[in-house]
Amino acid sequence: MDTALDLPNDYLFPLTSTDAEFYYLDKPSVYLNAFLSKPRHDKINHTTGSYKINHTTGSDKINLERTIVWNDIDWIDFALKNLDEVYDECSVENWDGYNAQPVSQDAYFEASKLLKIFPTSSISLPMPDIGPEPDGGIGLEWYKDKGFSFLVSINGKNIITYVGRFGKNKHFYGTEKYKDSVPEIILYGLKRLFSNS
Amino acid sequence: MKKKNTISSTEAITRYIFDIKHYAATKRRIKYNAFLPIRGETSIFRVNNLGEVQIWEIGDNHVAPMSSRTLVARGDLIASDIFEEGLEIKPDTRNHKLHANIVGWPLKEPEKAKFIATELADKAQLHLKP
Repeated sequence: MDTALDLPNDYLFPLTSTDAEFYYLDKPSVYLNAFLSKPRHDKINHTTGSYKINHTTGSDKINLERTIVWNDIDWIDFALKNLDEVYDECSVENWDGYNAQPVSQDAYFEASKLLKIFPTSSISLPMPDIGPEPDGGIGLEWYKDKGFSFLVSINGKNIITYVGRFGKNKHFYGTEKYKDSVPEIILYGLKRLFSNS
Repeated sequence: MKKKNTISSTEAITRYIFDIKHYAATKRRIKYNAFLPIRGETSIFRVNNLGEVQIWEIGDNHVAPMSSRTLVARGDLIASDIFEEGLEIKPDTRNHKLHANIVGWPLKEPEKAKFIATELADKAQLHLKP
């Protein structure tokens, strides 16, 4: 029987992936496999960041949850798949139980286009939460902590709405015309949000 | 002249949630889209002095059948969380005596409405359906 690791619940260790792998080298194989399998299965390039370990003493199970600061844009493929799921599941009326409008095809296309044109070299970002909005739009939300988030909302009418929150009484919001590049204000907001990660 | 709120600022309020895209279970947080209004209103229930069982019963037995969806979670607030954002709570007891709507959303400024929704979501406490 494998011996449980002596880690507290919700242990958070800010290591690089390489450091973390060395840490686990002499641990029971079940943990090593669990640790190694998830990030590689997800094909994530995670050279910086941290993992949150949900550890159950005496159990042979361990859950690894990404709380990564990504340093590239490898998440775009996953984001596009996530977007597809949102569209598939929410392109019907009342997807939320409150008579929401279906997610529009135009919003889906605009969101897809926006994700594909995110600059890959000038900014390091985690993957956003992609979610439907009750007016048929789609939101990309980068959530850091309470009071710290950046939301980009796409409505399918070539208008991008954004909301940046950077702590108490530090926020801005507005709209931008959707063109062929990510608006500067959005890149600025995202950089500001993640600059002190 | 602004209409005075008829609901106490300390009243407990809940927003029933029927879609997993309205919360992040791992981070134990409600997402902003759970509070975005539809046709200018966000449906809520006044649950002051109700126990957990009673609150879930309202969701299961009254709200879920009307929504044609399965209840998966709820987000709890107190009324002052809503008032602080410049919104109001308007009782709407046509179908249930404890039902109300959050009203007063800045509908001509969708970006401001989304900002308010993110603030409400941060204040809300997520309860997953047992």
